[in-house]
This record gives sequence, C-alpha cells and structure tokens, in this order.
Amino acid sequence: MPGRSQRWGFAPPALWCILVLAAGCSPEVRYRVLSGVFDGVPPPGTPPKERLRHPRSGTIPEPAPPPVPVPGAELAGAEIPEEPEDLRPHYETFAELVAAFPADASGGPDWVEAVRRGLADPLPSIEPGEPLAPFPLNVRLRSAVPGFDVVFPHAAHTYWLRCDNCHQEIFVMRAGANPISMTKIFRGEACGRCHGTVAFAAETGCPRCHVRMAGPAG
Amino acid sequence: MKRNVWRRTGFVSMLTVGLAIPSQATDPVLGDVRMDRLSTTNAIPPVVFPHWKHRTEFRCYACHPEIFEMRAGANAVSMDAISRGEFCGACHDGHTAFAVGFDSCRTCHSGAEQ
Ligand code: HEC
Ligand code: HEC
Ligand code: HEC
Repeated sequence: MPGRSQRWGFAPPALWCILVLAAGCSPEVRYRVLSGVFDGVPPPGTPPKERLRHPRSGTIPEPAPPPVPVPGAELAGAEIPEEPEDLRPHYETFAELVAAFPADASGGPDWVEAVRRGLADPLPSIEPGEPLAPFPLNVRLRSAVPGFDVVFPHAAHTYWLRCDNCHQEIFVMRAGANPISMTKIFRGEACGRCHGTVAFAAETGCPRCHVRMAGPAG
Repeated sequence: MKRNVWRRTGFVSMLTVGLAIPSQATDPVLGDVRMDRLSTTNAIPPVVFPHWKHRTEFRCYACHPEIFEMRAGANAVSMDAISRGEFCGACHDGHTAFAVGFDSCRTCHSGAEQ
C-alpha cells in the first residue's frame, strides 16, 4: 500500500527543477514562473528595496561608564555559587570497600564503625535533603534465657532507616510487645528481615546484640 | 513496513552485542539480591542487585519503601517500568547514576545463566 509520503515523493525534485530553470531565464519569464509559485515576487525593473537597517547599527555606541560599586552588590548573588564538591568516599569494587572498611567478626565490612569513622557517607535521599535527626533510644529486650538479654540501639538503625521501615509492620512500637527468638531470626523474621540478608548476620554477630556476651562489663 | 523491519533487526543486533559483553559477576556479597522474575524465562541473564554498592551512596530510606518495597520479589520491576522512570529508573537515568542502555546491560544482568 503506497503511503501518503510515497505518492507525493516526486514533489521536492519537481520544485527544485522549477527553481533551477527559473534562475537561468530572462527576467520576464523568471517573474512569471516564480510569481506562480511564491507570493510577493517583485516585477522586473523595480529598484532593489533598501534594506532596513537596525536603527542602532549606524551609530557608534558611547563607551559604557565604569561600573559604580554598589555596596553589598558582591554579596547579592553577583557570583553564582559553585556546586559543592563531592568529597564523599566512593568504592568501585567490593574488594576496594573491604580493604578500606573495618572488619566485623565474620570478616565482612562493619558498616556501623565505618560510618562512625567517616568511611561511608550515604545521602539521605535522591533529591538534596537533610538526614533525619538521630533517635538515641535503647530498648532492652529481656530474654527468658538468663544472660541473653538484647539491647536494641535505635541510633545505629535510624542512621539508615526511617521509623516506618520497622514500625508497625515488623515491630510494634512498645517494649516487650514483640515475641522474638533466635529461631525466628534465623528464619528471616523480626531482626532477621535485615540481619543475615543485608545487615550483619546473626550467626557471627552474637555479642553485638547480646550485650552480656560482649564481655564482663556488659 | 521497511522501516519497522530495520528497527527490529537493529534492536535485536544491539541486544546481542550488549549481552555479548562478558558478565562482571563477582563472588556473592551479603546483601546481594538475585532478581529473576522475568529474565530467565526471556533468555536474559538474571539481575544481581548489590546492596553494598547502593549503601555507600544512599541510606536505606532513600529507596525503602517508596521506590522499592522492602521484601524480595515484591516489586514488579521490568525494563518498561525502568524506562518510565520507575524502580531502578528513578536513578539510572544518566544523571544520578549510569543510564540504562545497550552498553550497560551486563552491569546489572550480571547473574550466571542457569
Ligand atoms: C530497625 C527497626 C526500627 C526502626 C527503624 C525504629 N525502631 Fe523503634 N523499635 C524497634 C524495636 C525492635 C523496638 C523494641 C520493641 C520491643 O521491645 O518489642 C522498638 C521500640 C520502639 C519504641 C517503644 C519503646 C518503649 O520503651 O516502649 C518506640 C517509642 C520507638 N521504637 C520509636 C521509634 C521511632 C520514633 C523511630 C524512628 C526515629 C523508630 N522507633 C525506628 C525497631 C525499630
Ligand atoms: C540481630 C541481633 C541478634 C544476634 C546477632 C543474635 N541474637 Fe540471639 N537473640 C536476639 C533477640 C532479639 C532475641 C530475643 C530476645 C527476647 O527474648 O526478647 C534473642 C534470643 C536469644 C536466645 C534466647 C533463646 C531464644 O531463641 O530466644 C539465645 C540463647 C540467643 N539469642 C543466642 C544467640 C547466639 C548464640 C547468637 C550468635 C550465634 C545470637 N543469639 C545472635 C537477637 C540476636
Ligand atoms: C529494617 C532492617 C533491620 C532490622 C529489622 C533490624 N536491624 Fe539491626 N541493623 C540494621 C542495619 C542496616 C544495621 C547497620 C549495620 C549493618 O548493616 O551491618 C544494623 C545494626 C544493628 C546493630 C548495631 C551493632 C553495632 O555495631 O553497633 C545492632 C545491635 C542491631 N542492629 C540489632 C538489631 C536487633 C536486636 C534487631 C531486632 C530487634 C534488629 N537489629 C533489627 C538493620 C536492621
């Protein structure tokens, strides 16, 4: 099926022929041909119109007076502030990151300590924005097994996570209201939603959660 | 009609070239998420999402839960959705992070074929 553009495909070459032929003829023929195609072609014999000059282009511009310093002008946005240089640490490969970060008990990177030392400085959002304020609440999860109490540090979590990442879908916001056990954690529930999937795994991190296992001081 | 054929063969050959670039797969890292909802059934290597790389640039709440629900397999990511600026496309636009294109297939489709 020939499309519209195919049926009219001869039009541009034909136009070019008319123009080329017209350019090579006498003024009268050229006028007749061209005025058949375009509007406003001047009849032969009319003197060429004088080009309108830009009114200012004929006069010599007066030299601009030297700028009078306005007090405070250099502060009032005279200079466009440069985009702040990105000084945050970046890592191309995981090997590079492991070499730079402190290691945890499993040999993997310790993200909490790395942030503390400024080895990672992740942005809070894609658009420029301020991070959430730290939330320094420690909640003690009392275990039925003596010596296995857990101290849950909100501060280490709220650096990375927002309240609604955990409350109320994963944890009800009341101390003691969430029955947690190691079985659940190893199954990937409660703390195990993150610990073992993206954050340090329960298998090697006992003393980070179970403060009494950290040493006699805990 | 003619143009359509061109477009289609062009797409297929570029895709072939894109996937011929060897995989940049590395050893698994804690936080890697294998995404294979559509890829293997479409004869494309699966995607391995590296949490570690994104964590050095953004905190968890930059993406969770607005861009990605915080559960593996719960997000209907597709190349169409990405090109609409959803999911990975929210950043991988050539501005915030490298663009999605035929020279970068293997950066994300880095999983081993099965
Ligand atoms: C990583 C997940 C997580 C995040 C993020 C988080 N919380 Fe919690 N929150 C918990 C856990 C776990 C508990 C303890 C629940 C228990 O004892 O059963 C808790 C308990 C609480 C409690 C109850 C304390 C008490 O003594 O009853 C409050 C209040 C609370 N969180 C507020 C917040 C606020 C505000 C934020 C955001 C700034 C926040 N949480 C972010 C996990 C989280
Ligand atoms: C991500 C933090 C975390 C890590 C890591 C962790 N635990 Fe736990 N553990 C908990 C929580 C939370 C509980 C439940 C506390 C309660 O009863 O409310 C618990 C409970 C326990 C209990 C009591 C019995 C039970 O299953 O509830 C034992 C024993 C225990 N943990 C041992 C360990 C050992 C050994 C390790 C290291 C291999 C370990 N835990 C690593 C968080 C952790
Ligand atoms: C929503 C994800 C998430 C949940 C749920 C979660 N954590 Fe965490 N937690 C993290 C992240 C991320 C870190 C940062 C360290 C890392 O990534 O290895 C962290 C760090 C910690 C630390 C800091 C250790 C240190 O070196 O200071 C402790 C302790 C901890 N978590 C205990 C818990 C316990 C106990 C629970 C369950 C009651 C829990 N977490 C639930 C994500 C989570």
